[in-house]
Amino acid sequence: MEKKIAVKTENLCKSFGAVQAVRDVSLTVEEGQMQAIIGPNGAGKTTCMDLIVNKTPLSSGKVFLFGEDITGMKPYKIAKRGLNKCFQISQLFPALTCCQNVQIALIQKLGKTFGLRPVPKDYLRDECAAELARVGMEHLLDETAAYLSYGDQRRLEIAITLALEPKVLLLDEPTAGVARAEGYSIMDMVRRLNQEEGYTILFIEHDMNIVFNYSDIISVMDHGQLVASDTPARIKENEFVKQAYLGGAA
Amino acid sequence: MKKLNLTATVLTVAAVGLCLVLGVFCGINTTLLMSRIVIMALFALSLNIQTGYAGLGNLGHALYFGLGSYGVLIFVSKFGQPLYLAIPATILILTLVSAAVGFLMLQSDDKMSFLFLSFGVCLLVYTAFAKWAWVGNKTGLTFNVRPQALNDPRNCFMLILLVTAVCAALMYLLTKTPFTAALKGSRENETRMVFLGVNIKRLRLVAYVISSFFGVIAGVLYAIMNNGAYITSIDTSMALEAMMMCLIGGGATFLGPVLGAVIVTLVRNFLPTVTNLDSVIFGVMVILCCYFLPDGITAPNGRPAALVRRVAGRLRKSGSDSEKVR
Repeated sequence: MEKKIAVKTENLCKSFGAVQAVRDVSLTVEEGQMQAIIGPNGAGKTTCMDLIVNKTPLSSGKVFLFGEDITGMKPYKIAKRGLNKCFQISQLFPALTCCQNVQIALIQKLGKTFGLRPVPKDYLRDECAAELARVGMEHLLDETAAYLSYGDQRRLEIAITLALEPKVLLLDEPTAGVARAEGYSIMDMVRRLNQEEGYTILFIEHDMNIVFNYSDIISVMDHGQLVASDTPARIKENEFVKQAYLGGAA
Repeated sequence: MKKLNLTATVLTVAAVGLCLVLGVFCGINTTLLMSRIVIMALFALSLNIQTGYAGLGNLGHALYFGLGSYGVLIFVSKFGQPLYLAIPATILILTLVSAAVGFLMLQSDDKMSFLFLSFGVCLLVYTAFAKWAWVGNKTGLTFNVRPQALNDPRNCFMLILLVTAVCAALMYLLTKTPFTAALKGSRENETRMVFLGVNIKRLRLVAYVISSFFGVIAGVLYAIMNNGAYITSIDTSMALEAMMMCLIGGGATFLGPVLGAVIVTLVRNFLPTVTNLDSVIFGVMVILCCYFLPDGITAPNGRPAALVRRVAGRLRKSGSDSEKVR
């Protein structure tokens, strides 16, 4: 059976003055796929992801989510449609506990953000614990987010996003700034989410071992352009990737 | 945590009791001062919905306080309406006005622009009222709006205390809602909230309207207390004072602004009777507070709370030591 297209971009372009950060990027992410975007620093990977969720308004091009045109839609409306992003620099509620961090996401998922009926102190606590357990953080339920290790902050951000039950999860360098072992542990968790729970995942990553071990499709960007998009085995044979990442010897 | 809740409840009941005793049994001047303190506490609590929970600084909250006072006076003295109609009409109209004004002010996502817009709108209305003869220019409006029974300041005080207690209870319940949890989220990280799918402008607008609603009620009480509406009620310095109440008391706890209102009102009332350097002393006090108590006196992680915990710990320790000796 043919898989649905979860995210599709058509000729995405973004210019900052004279600089063209993203040029004619046409990406396709299938439902249930785990796709990585790689590229040297300044290749336009994060900008491209920001254009998809409209964090940065695009200059031209189109973005589709499950066939629906979401180009130029307000970011909160895109998020409501199930396209949710984890940022390169963790975006948490630092003064709140892990439980409260996830609670806010759950409240939003349940459509109770504007609820004016008082709730008990342990409102959604069990649900929050279950969400944190998905990322292996159930023991840190009452820990303040600001005091977590960087790796745990990354996990917490993923937990917050997962609480929304996204249709497509965008991860901007999920292992950035964490120790190698911790990075692999995070990626194992992400892979589990993809394989066991069927999440469609698009992620940006610099670590080539992670990229080649954890993705179904790899898209390569350079100077704002999409250079290649293929399976890890074929990407390994790509001339640009050989030159830029594998020392030209692979 | 339960111990803390119990302590807060006992302190609140004790404070209301003390308030009642001071307001009813300690002479007219004390009654008037207590009435003012209670109204200011309501005003500060209403502002704290924006500053404390939503993290939105507002330098124009006096707008609704002042207009609340003027509304009652205008309905009664200019349109000849009875007080029982003037009050709900004022509250309803100004709440709708706050929705429209808030909608315009919240078009920008920038908190700083909201701060200065609120200041600008307040200043605009202040200037318009100061130059508008129909509302008494800078003198304001005075008219006997109070019913006969409220002419006794003690009765008036009890009404003010009752209305404030009901409003405070409602605002307290508001802090227990999912809405306030989301509001805290918007204070902590706006970007995260947006990418959770929250319409942050709408969230803030609701907070602004609720806050203005209670601000108007404080203004209405002020009009009833004084039988008048004065231009100083819309003044930006009044708005600034309310911000100081939240800052000094601490916006992170529910009762912080109440404590701030007590301190600021007492200082602003007593200092001028002792010295003409009152504004200087008040300014120094604010600076010291910003420096040493940036999150206010009642901040859970602040110095006073740490001191209270230390003293309580020592007391507990000495209690258990004496039991061991026995």
